Amino acid sequence: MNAEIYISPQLDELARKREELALLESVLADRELSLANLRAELAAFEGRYLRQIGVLYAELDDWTARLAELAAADAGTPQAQSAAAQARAQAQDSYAASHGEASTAEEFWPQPELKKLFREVCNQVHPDRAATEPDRDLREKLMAQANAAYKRQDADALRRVLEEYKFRPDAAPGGGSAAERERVIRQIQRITRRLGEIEAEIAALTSAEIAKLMAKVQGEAAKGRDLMDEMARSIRMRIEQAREEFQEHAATERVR
Amino acid sequence: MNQANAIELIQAPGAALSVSAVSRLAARGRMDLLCSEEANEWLHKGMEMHTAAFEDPGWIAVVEAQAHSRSQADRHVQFRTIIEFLRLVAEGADPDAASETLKLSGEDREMARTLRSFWPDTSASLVRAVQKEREGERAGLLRHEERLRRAFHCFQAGYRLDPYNREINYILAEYYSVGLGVARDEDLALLHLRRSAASGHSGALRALGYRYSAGLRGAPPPDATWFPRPAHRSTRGAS
Repeated sequence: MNAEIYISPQLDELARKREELALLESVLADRELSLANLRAELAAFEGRYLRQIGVLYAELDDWTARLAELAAADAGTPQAQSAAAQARAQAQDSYAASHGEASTAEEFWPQPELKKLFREVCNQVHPDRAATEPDRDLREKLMAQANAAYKRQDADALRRVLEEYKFRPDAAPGGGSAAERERVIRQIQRITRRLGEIEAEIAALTSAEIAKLMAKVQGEAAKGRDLMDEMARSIRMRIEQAREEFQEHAATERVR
Repeated sequence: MNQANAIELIQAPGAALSVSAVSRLAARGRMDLLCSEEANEWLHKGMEMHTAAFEDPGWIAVVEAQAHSRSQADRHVQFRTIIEFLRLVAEGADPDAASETLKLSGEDREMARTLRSFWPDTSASLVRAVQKEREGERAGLLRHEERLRRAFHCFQAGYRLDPYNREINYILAEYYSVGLGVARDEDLALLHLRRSAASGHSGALRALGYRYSAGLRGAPPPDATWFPRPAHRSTRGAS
């Protein structure tokens, strides 16, 4: 007897959709990992840049503002006073930026093990894989924790996220194959949309000034050149010059 | 990055990017780097021009001729002086005045007279050869000076982009100090030399050190932290 298993067109489509979903989930995990890496690398570079270079710009701006204030006191014209106020505002701006929270970001050198773990979390916990709304809420909360843990390079916290998700209250949805087909299709749509969002965010991040600067510094570092050090030396020179100018100016004022 | 994207960046979880001020600082750093790179390109162009100016065969011929003319014992030079005398006379100069200008000896004057009287064709061709050589030298000199002027403009362009570039400051100090491609200006030469030395340029430090030891203008002020000085030696009781 020729025993053939009959598969209905609906089941066949569901199977194909599941395959598509599995592939998309794998791509999503990779792209989330890339995005998380880029964010963390940029934040770390930004922190280093602000600590090494930003503080020097802030100091330079402070001397420039002092000089402008001296010149304004000397000239007494509204233009000179406006220029001094503008210089002071920039000095305050530079100080705030270089001593703000962004400057505290730590270096980011994730181990392959950590990357693997984060990819696993993305694969298991990603909100766009949720079948129900309560499940989605839980996943969003856990994913936010995972992102923060990855940025801190905290492997234990990532493992806890995975465990918490594994032992969540059963959220298995009910319904037959038609309902499941609907859910799979919705998941595919959500993941596709999220992939678009990730690409847009990566494009925005890589076109930011700090990203361009990071690319330049890394490119030169590969050739054995320390651009940050060169920049720092150049700004220190300018600070020294501004300081000398200020002192000369102040001494002249005292003589008067 | 447009404003909409910038706002998204702030809200993105985990991203420590805050736009405005931090972004401005980053943009400033990148702009400074670009200026510094462009300044180095100008420096490179200027150095090429500088090298070409001093490697020009016309300029080298001038330098060599000057070196030869300083060697009074050289018979060849005396012969050149005689030809120079012939050239001046051919161009209408008074023989006695020309002889006086060139400080010809009696023997040289006699030789010149012989050449002019008995071998006029040889004499004329020798004069032509010298005239041609002079024109070549003049052209070489003009090329040399033009190249130095262009080199100076390149260094100035680099300086405008990066006023603290130690190499550019050092070479500008040299140009102003010697008067290469620009009128001599000792004040500007010192300004550039001190700026270059302040960034640790060894040549500039040596030059200032020399000024310091020779008591010349431009010695670093006593409180200049960037200028390495020998340990203080007490002179008390030395007399």
